[in-house]
Amino acid sequence: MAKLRLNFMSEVLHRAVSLDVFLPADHMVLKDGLLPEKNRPYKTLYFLEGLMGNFSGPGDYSRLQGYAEDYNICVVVIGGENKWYQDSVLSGDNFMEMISRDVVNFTRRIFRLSHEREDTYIGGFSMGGHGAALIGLRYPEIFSKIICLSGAFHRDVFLESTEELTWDLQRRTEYQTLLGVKDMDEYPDSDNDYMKWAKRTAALDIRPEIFMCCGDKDDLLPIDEKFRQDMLNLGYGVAWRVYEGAGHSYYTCDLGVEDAFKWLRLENFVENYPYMTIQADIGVHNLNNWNTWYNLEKDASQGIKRT
Amino acid sequence: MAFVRAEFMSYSLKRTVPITAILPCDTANFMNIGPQPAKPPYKTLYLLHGIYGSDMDWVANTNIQRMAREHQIAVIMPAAENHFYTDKNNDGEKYGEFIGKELPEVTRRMFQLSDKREDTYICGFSMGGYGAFMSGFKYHGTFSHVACMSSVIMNPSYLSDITVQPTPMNDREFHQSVFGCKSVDGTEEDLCQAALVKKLLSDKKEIPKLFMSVGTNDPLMKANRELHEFLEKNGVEHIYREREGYFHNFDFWGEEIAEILDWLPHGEKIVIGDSGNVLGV
Repeated sequence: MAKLRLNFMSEVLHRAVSLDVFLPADHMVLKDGLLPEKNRPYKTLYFLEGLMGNFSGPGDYSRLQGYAEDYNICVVVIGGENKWYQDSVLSGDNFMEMISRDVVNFTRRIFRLSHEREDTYIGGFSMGGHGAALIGLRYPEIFSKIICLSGAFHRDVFLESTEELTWDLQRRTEYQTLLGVKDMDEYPDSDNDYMKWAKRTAALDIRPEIFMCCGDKDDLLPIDEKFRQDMLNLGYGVAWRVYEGAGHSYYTCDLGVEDAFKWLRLENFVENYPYMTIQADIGVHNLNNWNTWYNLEKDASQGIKRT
Repeated sequence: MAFVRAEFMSYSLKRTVPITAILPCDTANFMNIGPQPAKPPYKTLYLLHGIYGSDMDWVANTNIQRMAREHQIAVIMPAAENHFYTDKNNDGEKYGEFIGKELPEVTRRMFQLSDKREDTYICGFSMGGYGAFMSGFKYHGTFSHVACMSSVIMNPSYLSDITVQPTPMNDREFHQSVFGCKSVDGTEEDLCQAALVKKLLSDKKEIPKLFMSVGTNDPLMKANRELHEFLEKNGVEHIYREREGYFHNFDFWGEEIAEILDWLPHGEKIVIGDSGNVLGV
């Protein structure tokens, strides 16, 4: 596994942006053996970090790197600088545009990555889950799958925020600046509202599939459950795991990364079911029954009840 | 411009190794000065460090980032410890193969680099000058241009005559271990007799274009001049420059690399507006 720490000039942010990239370009082969050509050009997962973290967090604190190697996929990790991955006309911090345009173009320009939407995914942890949903739902022509690990789907938190700091990091004024609105009333159905894009994209043929997970000790569990229900109601296919005993931490992120890769690895995991039989049963996130689980989710989205 | 610090698993060295890379991929253009940047696949310069050095030497001591951007060329800087880029050492680490074979292979898998011979160049100073010469000629099918500054010239007596100095790198045992022999006399590693070059010439192989330079105050000047005369006598086309007053340090290499970039056939240098976007991770 090649691990790259790099920066590049972002056209959108007008400054240098740092990234961690995990690229399966090297392989230990016997002398004069051939390097494997499988999965080249590489499939790519763009992974967004949460609040307070930067581009180095997910690689350092979860097994993202190891799984990238196991599944022969390129992972690009992006930090969000507490900006929630939105475009703000007020602060100029256009992270949504930076990621969907600059980062995608830049990485495709220097690395040998697939340009197909089927091979391009976006995911994130916490605030990065919000970013992945927002960007993934807005640009389904770029991303075919969305991964939200303990996603902070903060639409209601933004709307109900006050000038008092509660358990969150930012005040109403700060949220308004990041959302690019003078008044919070302008936020719903604006370009920074993921529900606007969820509704728009639900009607398209190229609807991304969604993987979600959350810990049962996580304060965001109700928020995640609401988002999942919203997505199911709109007809999206949502895979969903709740981890027992897990809170809002890298522990959940790590478990989610493991399951998300198993989910991603499969072009269509119902047809590729045999892959699922090789995974270990380790209690809290036993995935032995993905097939049934996926179908139940799909049935639920279509209003079908199974016994 | 992207500045990359990477590490990957090397099969030649059988361990994880660091490299630093510069990619001329900028689309951000301050004040819209200058033409659009080059499109991949990029032409590539492999830059080798000297003894005591690392993959960050060139970035820390020269303007290579700005120059790479102006010349629209990708620059790959490996780290090869103090092993003279040879395969012959006694510890099974194949530094020659690493530089000449694996590094182009892996970096071409990693980045959008041109795999054409005419777009691939190698350059180094001191120990890296020796490494660039040896790798460039040994892997002549990969590299079309070789530039060596202030090169260490291995000659038949180098390993046996070397005196024990306070610095460990002048230790005779160390050098003999690196080259895996008591003397390079009659081997490919003997740059003084240029056995490798002679063999390529007699086999009528296409040899890389060669650029050699050295400062007149450099203790290695005499050996470089002798090699130049030897190559001339044997009909090996090359450019040789002695730069008046320069010593064995980055004052020389930092200026000379600009001349070498001008010498390499990679299109015109472009003018770019800047506002403090020199990068570093």
